[in-house]
Amino acid sequence: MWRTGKAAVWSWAQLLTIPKRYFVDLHHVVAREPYIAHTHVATAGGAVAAIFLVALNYGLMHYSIVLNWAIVVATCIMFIGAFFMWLRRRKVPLRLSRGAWNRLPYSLLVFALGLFLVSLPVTSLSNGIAILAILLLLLGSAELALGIGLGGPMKHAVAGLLHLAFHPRQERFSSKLSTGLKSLNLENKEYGINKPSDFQWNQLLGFDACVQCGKCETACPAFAAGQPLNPKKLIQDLVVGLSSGTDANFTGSPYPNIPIGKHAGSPNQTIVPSLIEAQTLWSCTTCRACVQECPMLIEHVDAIVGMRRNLTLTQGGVPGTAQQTLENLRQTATVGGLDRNARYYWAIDLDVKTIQPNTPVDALLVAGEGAFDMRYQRTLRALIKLLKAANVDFAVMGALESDTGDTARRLGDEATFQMLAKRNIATFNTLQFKRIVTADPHVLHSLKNEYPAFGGHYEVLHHTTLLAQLSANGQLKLGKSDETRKLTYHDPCYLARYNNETESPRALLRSVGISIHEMERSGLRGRCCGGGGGAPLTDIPGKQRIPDIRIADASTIGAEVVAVGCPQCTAMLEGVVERPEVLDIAELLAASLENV
Amino acid sequence: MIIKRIAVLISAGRHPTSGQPRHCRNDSLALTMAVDLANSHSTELDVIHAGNPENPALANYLALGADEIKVITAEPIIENLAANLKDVDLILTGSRAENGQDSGLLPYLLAVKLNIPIVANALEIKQMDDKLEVLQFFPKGKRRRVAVKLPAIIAIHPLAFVELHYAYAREQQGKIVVLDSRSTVNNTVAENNLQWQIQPKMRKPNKLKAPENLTGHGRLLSAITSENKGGTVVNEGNSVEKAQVILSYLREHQLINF
Repeated sequence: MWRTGKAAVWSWAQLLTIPKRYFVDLHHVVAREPYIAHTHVATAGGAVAAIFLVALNYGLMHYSIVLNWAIVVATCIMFIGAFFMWLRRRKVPLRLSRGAWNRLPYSLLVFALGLFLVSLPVTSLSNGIAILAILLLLLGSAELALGIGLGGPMKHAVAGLLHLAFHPRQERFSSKLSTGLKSLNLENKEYGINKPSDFQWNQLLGFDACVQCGKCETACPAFAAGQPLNPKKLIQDLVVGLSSGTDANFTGSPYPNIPIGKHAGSPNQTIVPSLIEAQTLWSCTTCRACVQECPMLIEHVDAIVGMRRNLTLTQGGVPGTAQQTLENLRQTATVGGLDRNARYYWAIDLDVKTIQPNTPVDALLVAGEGAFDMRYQRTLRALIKLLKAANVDFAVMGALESDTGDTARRLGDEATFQMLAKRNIATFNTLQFKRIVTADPHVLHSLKNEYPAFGGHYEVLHHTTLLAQLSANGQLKLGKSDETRKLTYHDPCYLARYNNETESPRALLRSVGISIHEMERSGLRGRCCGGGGGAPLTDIPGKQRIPDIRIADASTIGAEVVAVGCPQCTAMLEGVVERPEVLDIAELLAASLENV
Repeated sequence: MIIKRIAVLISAGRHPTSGQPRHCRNDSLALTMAVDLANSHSTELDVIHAGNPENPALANYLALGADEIKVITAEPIIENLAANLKDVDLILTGSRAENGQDSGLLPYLLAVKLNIPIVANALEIKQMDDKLEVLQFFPKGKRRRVAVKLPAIIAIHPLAFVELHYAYAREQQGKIVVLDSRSTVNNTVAENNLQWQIQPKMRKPNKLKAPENLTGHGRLLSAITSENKGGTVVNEGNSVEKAQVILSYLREHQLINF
């Protein structure tokens, strides 16, 4: 079935990687919720052990009493696991799917009980009980065997293990980050995902691995804001699309405001809008919270951007002001359609070098689109103050800077992104610098993770990373901060989840004597501000705004200051009417310089 | 009424800030309307540009929905366009100049040349029995519905109810063809061969304006009543004294520093 998808690079040897990936990588995610981790260990472990022992004892005709007792023990463990699963199912959390998934604990209990009774080394079993036991065993086995073949809940066991082996992002298992989007070969007319069969076969396999646990749904900022997106439903829609069905049998939460049962698809039928509505795709902020949470390591964002690409590149149907933004990027290489010469006007009085060809510098400051925003200019000025205090040899990019194309890429406009990326790389090639510093995590992500595919390999640092290094080696001497208000730190998605940088900002704040009160969701599991992926441009209506939810997180713990490290987050969070003060890390640090 | 042939006239624009070649928005609106009309009536559609076929701006129109752009390179433009548009029922184009060397006169000159009616500032086009009904834009929210018999030129207003869709894939598929480059009319016979004079733009003097220190309420009052506009009328004294009042006003508001 998965073979209807597009080809992908793979080898049989990848099957050998399953045990490590299962017990290490996957377990790291599952263990975040200990209850279900333990029940799964008991149930799956018991079942696998029991089936293995049955095969050993009866398949190989050992008929050993010891092994028989071992089967009894294994089935007991499985029974206990399945029992706790049933306990949880008595009051189903909203994020879980019902339907066949509610049946599963019973099937597992029945299987365990049947095998238990059959394996009891007692010959005096009455015929009635024996027949009952066999029946139970058959019922349970039906779920296990047929479920895998016919797409029942137990499908996840086989698809999940294979998905681990043939995962589309193999780098994830070698403790490397893999967050950059894969590029399209536009010359070969690769225009993204139009129909389910346009996915690579291993992506399709990944969708089938979904256990509908709904952790993505709980993490999704768009779902929480009532926008018509639910990552779990999206993956299930793609499963339905591959197997030619409708979404009528979906038993989880629907996309907010889109009723279930009205959409259908098949492998060679266009996905939007018959299977998935366009506004569902445009609601995503590409914050990767769903990917971070998924115990089956499914890549939701790749799927969404893949489908967006097709909409943008072949139909041009980008909603809201996104169309204008893309046009600005094509025509002026800025998001706002502004004059590139004006990008560094805020630095005119700061006596900052502008980089020139043949004049090498240590650090090149790439400010990004935030440089046009008067609010973020305050952050940038603070950053310059800090860089000067640390005697860093740096220069700004001046009029040479073009937008990195990050927004265009998230909006699916791969053509504009590649045009801008190639233009920037050509510019970088004429300049001499050791590393790039930026105060914008979106710039950081593009340059560091996505430009290498086009031949641009640079050492790119977020300003907090560089400042933390400088502070640690004594080059930057920070004073004690006057800040006595209760402070929390908001992790930008593109810094934390996309670049695994959660420690430097915190270390810096601690080093100036500020203690951080963490919000409900922080670090790699931080909640999105709503500003990523072009979501503020497409502006799909929901019942509330995402930044309001995030500010509510901060207000709940009574924070009076929210520290940030991203122009998008600053703009989004400052857009909330009643809120704590929003200050960039650079601003907080620059203020402490006076107390050295 | 059957519309047999539609033509859209498109021009090459430039971005006002970056100067990069691009489509003219008004012409793109006309193009999108024409594509919709042509699709719903299965009509033949010609997209025509008079100018340089190498201009990168033309690729924008391919992305915006033109399958093929026919380029007329021969001068003079009006006469050669007219020669190519003789048997076209409906000509759509943008309504006004955007920037650069656009004059915005082309639709009118063409209408005179072809001796057909022109409806400018169109927001919406509806098909009636034997004519087209056009909703016209007028300032301050005024609108007018007019009916026009074909053949006619309809020039689209920038606020027309049209959404542009830019698709890269279409740009790759579309093609640009150059029509016969020989002029079909005798240059000397051209009636409307306007003599353009080109001169550099004059820099506008900056107006010295005193900063207002009004409260929000004060600003509101000054906007709705004339008494609150402020200022003084000086009609006493000789010219030196009057000039002195102006000078001290400028000094007071630090608009001059001598």
